Amino acid sequence: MTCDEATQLLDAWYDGELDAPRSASLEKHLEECTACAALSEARSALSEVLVKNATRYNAPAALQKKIEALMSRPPEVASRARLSRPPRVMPWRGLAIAASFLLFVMVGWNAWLLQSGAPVPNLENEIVSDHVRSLMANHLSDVASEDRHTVKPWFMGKIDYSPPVNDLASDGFKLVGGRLDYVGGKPVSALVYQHGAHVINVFVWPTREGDDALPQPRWSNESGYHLAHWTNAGMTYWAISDVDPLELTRLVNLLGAK
Amino acid sequence: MKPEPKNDLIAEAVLPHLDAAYNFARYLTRNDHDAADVVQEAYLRAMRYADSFTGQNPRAWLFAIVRNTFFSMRKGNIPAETAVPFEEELHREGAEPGPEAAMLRSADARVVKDALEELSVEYREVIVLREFEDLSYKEIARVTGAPVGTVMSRLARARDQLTRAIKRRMV
Repeated sequence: MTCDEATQLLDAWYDGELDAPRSASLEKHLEECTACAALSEARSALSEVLVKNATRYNAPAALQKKIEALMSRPPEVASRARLSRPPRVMPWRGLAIAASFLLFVMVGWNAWLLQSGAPVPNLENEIVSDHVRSLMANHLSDVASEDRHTVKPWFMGKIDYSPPVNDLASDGFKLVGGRLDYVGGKPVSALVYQHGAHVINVFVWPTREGDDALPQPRWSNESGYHLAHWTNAGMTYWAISDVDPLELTRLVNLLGAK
Repeated sequence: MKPEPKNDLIAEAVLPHLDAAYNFARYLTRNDHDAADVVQEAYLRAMRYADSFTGQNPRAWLFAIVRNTFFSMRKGNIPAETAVPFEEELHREGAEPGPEAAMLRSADARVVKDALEELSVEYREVIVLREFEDLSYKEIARVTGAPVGTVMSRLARARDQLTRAIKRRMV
């Protein structure tokens, strides 16, 4: 073995990571070559001085307390993250960690959205549940009327605003009635329109702090329903239906979305 | 909400390694404040990464999280260290047996600390993982995401540099 080879393998040998045959020939070389033996000796000396004199930092007591407290209650995001990831064993963690980090960023983003109180993604789920419930529980409307002059006044005294109620029958959207519903923990007006066999729920409330200003509707799909969300003249609108999206777009535009 | 079993498992697995995690973070960041931030964030992430935890080698798993946390936080808050010029395979000195080893053994804590902190972060981390934590090359490769061969050559260069840094302070 040459000195070049020896120096290249020295650290692996020193760390016990070299295979037996090469270890044997390296050891033989070290017996014969003082320069390489000196290098080997220096490695030992370095390790010794690191063990003896390098500072080992211990976690400060305050940090330890904080982390113990932190670990005893699972952060909500942790359980949410778990739901969206199939359990699997990965060959190694680099990938898993990269993926988790991405997920962490996404979850963090969600958490940020939640914190900022903005168009909370959960609102969408709430709207869907409200819509489904209105269809299932035979509770489509509290006031069943095609007449907007009946529907609009019905909300008076039940909520502290007067929702715009439009007569759109000539456009193919028959007003079926109105309903009081709960969205984001507050009572809101739900207006029920019908287009053919399809029911469209339109939730309207005065734009709250944290609601996005959305002159142009934001579209989403949830559980097979189309949702449109927009604001117009100080009111926040959510429309949901299983109707053809083109028809829903037409209604959304009739209701003031740009 | 009741703590979930998996979280208990994670806590049980990583809490005993808090000092080691902090020591690693302290050498990566080179200051107490950032080290505490990195460790706290890393433990939070450990909870979130619960699914990537197989139950094996929690220490290496935790080190990997600490390291990733450090690098991701460094992009933001922790100021990047000034780049240390990359030294290619340097010619090794110390042809005579004895003197270099004796010199190294006589270095005091201050010298060792300064020399260690002078190393670039890639070298610091392999020194800490190998010399302090006694991780195998394979484990270091897992923590750092580098191939085993790279770990080996990086560790050799790190030791060479550290030796020279100590030596420079001893004359």
